[in-house]
Amino acid sequence: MTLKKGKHEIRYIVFIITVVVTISANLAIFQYNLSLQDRDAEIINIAGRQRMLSQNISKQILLISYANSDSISQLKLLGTITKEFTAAHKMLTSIQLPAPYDASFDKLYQSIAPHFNSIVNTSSKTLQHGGTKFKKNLPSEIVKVDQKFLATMEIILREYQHKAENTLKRTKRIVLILSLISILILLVESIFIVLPFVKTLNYQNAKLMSTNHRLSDFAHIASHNLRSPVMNLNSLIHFIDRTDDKAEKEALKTKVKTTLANLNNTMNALLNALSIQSNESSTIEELYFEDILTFTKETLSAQILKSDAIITMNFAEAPILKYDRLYLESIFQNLLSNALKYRSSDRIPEVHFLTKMKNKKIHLYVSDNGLGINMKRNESKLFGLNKVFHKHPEAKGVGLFMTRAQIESMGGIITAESTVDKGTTFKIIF
Amino acid sequence: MKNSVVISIVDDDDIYRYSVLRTLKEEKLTKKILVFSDGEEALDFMLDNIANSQKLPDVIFLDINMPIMDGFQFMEEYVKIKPKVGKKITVYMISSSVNPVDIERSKSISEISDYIIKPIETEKLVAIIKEVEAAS
Repeated sequence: MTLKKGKHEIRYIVFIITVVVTISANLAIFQYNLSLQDRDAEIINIAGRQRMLSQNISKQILLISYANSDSISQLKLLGTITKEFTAAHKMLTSIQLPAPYDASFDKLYQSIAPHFNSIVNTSSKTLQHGGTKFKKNLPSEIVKVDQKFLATMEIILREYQHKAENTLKRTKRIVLILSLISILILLVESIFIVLPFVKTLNYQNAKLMSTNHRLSDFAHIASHNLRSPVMNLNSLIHFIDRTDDKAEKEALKTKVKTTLANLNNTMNALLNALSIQSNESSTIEELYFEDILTFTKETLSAQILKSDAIITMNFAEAPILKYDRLYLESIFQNLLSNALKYRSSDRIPEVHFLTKMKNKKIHLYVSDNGLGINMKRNESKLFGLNKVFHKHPEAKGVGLFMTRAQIESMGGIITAESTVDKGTTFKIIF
Repeated sequence: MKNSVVISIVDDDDIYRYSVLRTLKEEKLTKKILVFSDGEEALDFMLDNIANSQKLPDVIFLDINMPIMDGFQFMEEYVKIKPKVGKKITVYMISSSVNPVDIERSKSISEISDYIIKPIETEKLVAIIKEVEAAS
């Protein structure tokens, strides 16, 4: 589950780079398309202005001819407008348009060329001679030419607009495709980079939480189980000091020895639990549940014989487990010996071992028909250290504490269900 | 009436019980001491003698971590039978647990007078019993 650090970093870098590249590429392509549209808008603007300019030229020519004036300022104005008109026309005709448009625009500009030339010629003649010479036929001529020019320019303009609309459509399509590609890239990366990353984090977080929980448990266990005997030793020594009675001194000394022995046991249990939690020495191998049970039955053969217990099993659904052999043996031994220890005197003890496969995980059920535990009262204490639930001389409250430590150190869970005087079922999810 | 209070010690640790008993004896505080090794034993005794309030303890020194029925479970049951108890019983939670969860939980139970972390000093023990004596 845990990714190697180097692999992790490379994936992370790949992720960042792809995100940056995707965003930059999107931005660049979008910018380019926007600039195309800007250019279209500019052309449309100039083409539209040509119509205005041509009307202006004809208006000026008409004004000059009607007024029969040689007003310098009016001629100057006509000259300026005509110059602008000519320059814009040159500009428009020189624009290189992409493939489908170049031919149609060439044709359009060819058809507008005579009108354009006519307007420019009339204008230059007016400029040369003033309004006087062309007075008679000029108005109708310039109006006619101008109308033709306007009509063609209108077509050109519409053609430009059509082209601009197409460009816009294309931009929209490109943006859509780019967005889809970006989403696809991010999705693929989420699945192959982010998701495993999050999974690893979640897994490690859960592991940390459980370790924290166990450590806090451990601190409280240590606090309670070590403080009590030390305090007791203190008071016993205090009493030994205060008494002169030899017999009493001896009795107190015996109590000191018992307390020390208990303290020693508790310390060993805590140290064992610590070494299990650090999980250094575990070696994983393929184990057959049946072999482990056979071995456990041999180990506990005296208790089994004494209690006439019937031990049954069904490992058909999940016969093999990859696990630490010592742990699994210890788990089996603890559960079986508990089942035998807390048997009911009213019936022959029966213990059933069953494995099942659920959600790709192996579940082990160990059920007995023993005394049972009052789960309402004891559920939270069941797997604690030095917790016993029966007034049984052999009850020490170490076994299930160790079992849980072993199972949890391997990432598993142990729970129990029990009914008083009916029996108990322990469930282990490996 | 001196020495008339009944003291009850509920604790599974026999050395601790022995120490308290011995201290009480040395201080000549009281003769009536009830000793139980878990909450269920103490509760059973109280249920058996619920009508006979003279036999019931005036003060209970209650441990938390005990087999079968721990201190908190005992308190849950005690709160239920309390209306039927014909005398005022003072309860002290006495534990070696320094777990803040245990301490907070004890403080939240109004029937518990105080939470004392083991070991209880002789002076404190004497003071509590004198106080209960004065009250009864």
